[in-house]
Amino acid sequence: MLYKDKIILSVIFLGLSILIFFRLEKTLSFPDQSWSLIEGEKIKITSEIVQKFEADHNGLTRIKILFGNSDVSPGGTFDFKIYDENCQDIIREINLDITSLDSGNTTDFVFPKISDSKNKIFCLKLSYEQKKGGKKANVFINENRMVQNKFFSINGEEKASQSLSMRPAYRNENLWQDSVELNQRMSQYKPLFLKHYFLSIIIFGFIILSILLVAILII
Amino acid sequence: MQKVQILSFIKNPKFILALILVIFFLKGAFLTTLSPIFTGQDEARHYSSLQYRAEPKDKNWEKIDRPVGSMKSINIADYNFSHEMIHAGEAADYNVFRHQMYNTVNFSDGYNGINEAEINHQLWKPYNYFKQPDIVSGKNLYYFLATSLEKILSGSDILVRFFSNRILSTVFGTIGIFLAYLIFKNIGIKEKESLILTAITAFQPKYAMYFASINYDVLLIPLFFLFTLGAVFSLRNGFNWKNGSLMLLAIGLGFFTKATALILILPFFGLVVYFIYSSYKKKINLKIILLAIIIFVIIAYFSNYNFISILPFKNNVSETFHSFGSYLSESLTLGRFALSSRTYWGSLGWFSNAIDQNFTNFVWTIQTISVVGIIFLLFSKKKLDFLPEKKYVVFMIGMIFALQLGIRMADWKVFMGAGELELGTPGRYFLPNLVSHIALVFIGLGALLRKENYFRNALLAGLIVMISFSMYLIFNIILPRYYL
Repeated sequence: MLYKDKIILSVIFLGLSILIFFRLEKTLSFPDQSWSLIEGEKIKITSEIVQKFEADHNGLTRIKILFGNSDVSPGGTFDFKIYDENCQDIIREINLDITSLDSGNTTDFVFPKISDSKNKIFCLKLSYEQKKGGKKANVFINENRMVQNKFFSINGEEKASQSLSMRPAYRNENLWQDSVELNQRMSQYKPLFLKHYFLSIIIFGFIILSILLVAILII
Repeated sequence: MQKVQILSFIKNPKFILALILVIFFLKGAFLTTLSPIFTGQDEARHYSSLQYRAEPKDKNWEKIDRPVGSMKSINIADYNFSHEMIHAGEAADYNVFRHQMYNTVNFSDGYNGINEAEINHQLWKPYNYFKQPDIVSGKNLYYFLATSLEKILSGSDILVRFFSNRILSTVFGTIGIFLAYLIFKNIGIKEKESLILTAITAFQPKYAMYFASINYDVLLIPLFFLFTLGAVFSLRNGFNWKNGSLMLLAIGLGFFTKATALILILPFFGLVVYFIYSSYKKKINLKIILLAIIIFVIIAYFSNYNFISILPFKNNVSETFHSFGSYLSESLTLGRFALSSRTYWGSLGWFSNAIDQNFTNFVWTIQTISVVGIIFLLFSKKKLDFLPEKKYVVFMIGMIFALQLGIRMADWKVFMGAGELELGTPGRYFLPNLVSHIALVFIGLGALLRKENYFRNALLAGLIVMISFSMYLIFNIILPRYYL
């Protein structure tokens, strides 16, 4: 095999591998399961949703929202903003173009980590603009008496003791802590030989040996 | 000097093959862990089937009269499974993560689940308390093997027994990969190219996913590979008692695993006809062929199986033809072909993005180009040294047609009874021909590329695409679905 071919194939393989692990790193955050994802009352977003909530941990980086319909074709744009407690200063902002929703009609709004989010109140504002000929997006709202649920309104109407069907997700201080938490989650309801250290050996063994195999076959 | 020795060691084909097998096993163990309990394809029912077979012979417990419920129920307690399966499933949040695609297990902060200690204490009997158990009935070789493991581990909790059975499936898958290597090597593909093709097969996403779950197909698929290997040996060395036995063994064991294996009779007799025909040209021992046929007929007779029952027939010829027409119009649609193809390649459809939507389009483009290459190869007079002879290509095409025919006949038969496409043709049904399929795709490309160097590059590119898609599904789709 020509040297040039080896280089090209190696670069493609490394590039794709980096993309895959970069994507995993980007989504590596852990939803707060005290927030329920429940298919409660379904309401169309005609203007704006305002949800104030208190973060339980540092490292707020993602909000998963459960939507009420899978067919939003030909799509539209979610305007997602996170403000301070008074809904005045924008902290994070995402404009997300979609043509369909993810697994189970959810969409993840991922933003750069807010490191000191613990015990702070955030104001989330969400609106949706469908493309021409498209449908409006529906969200679910649930009864929610958690103290972390501070305020909720949809289309200008306040809904006391209710909240958006959503889950805030947090990252740890560093990647090592994230990987430990991920290992803990994967280990649960598994036998001893697929838990903790054994699981780490399996995963890293699989990744490292796969890379080694491709390298051997290319050289 | 030492550097040279290390290089020659890691380039040794035996080392590379061992590496592929170890990687496949580790990948299977990882996938086994990634999917929570009972989430594989019909896995709860298959595990229920082997647990039922592991029960003591004296069933001295009260039975509840409850008909088998709807397969669509979202509550595990609605299924006539064992007491242990129902309670362990509920304790492990099966009802939450199985049917709510957006939900996961209610995680604790440590390495043990919230209700894991309860499961470990084996509070529930692994017995089925229903008069109508929700199981797959009949004698089955896979269940025999898996039940043996279940019995050996009977002192352990359900997590150990269930996941050990998944690991058993991965062992079968690893054997399948080894057989794949032998097939590639024996059809005349060179050592290194055979290893790359083996690695491509090992990284076919659906193959590994399937071999990380409890299902009788995990025995059927390697048996299909075994038959293919026997057939390849016969094409290479002539029909003899060794390769004849291998094929008959695969058919026989396959028959006691899943009826799909019966379709192997077609290529077997196809080969017999081929050898009888070629025996006029070459000296081939006709006695061995006749002996193989006699052994086959004796086995078929003593199996006491109603072979006619597998043929689709409805009342009379006219109704049968009418049903056939209705079946074809409903099943041979682009949408259904696309669905089979997507699931065959492991697309789960859990997330909507360009990769998921376009991967099968990419594969179809490659396959279409490859078909042109196969046609070119079959009608070309020039022999390319780095590609197999035409007879292997024709045989593998025959295998593809035979399985297609078998699956569609079974689908049509169910359609006749149900009046709708109840069974369908999910991609996993076509996995028994994975080795033939992968070989044909790359032989077709090789026939167009014409040069060994280009062929090897195409194989390496194929391997990189397959590994990347497999890694993408594991780390970007399955892992976030269940744990993030």
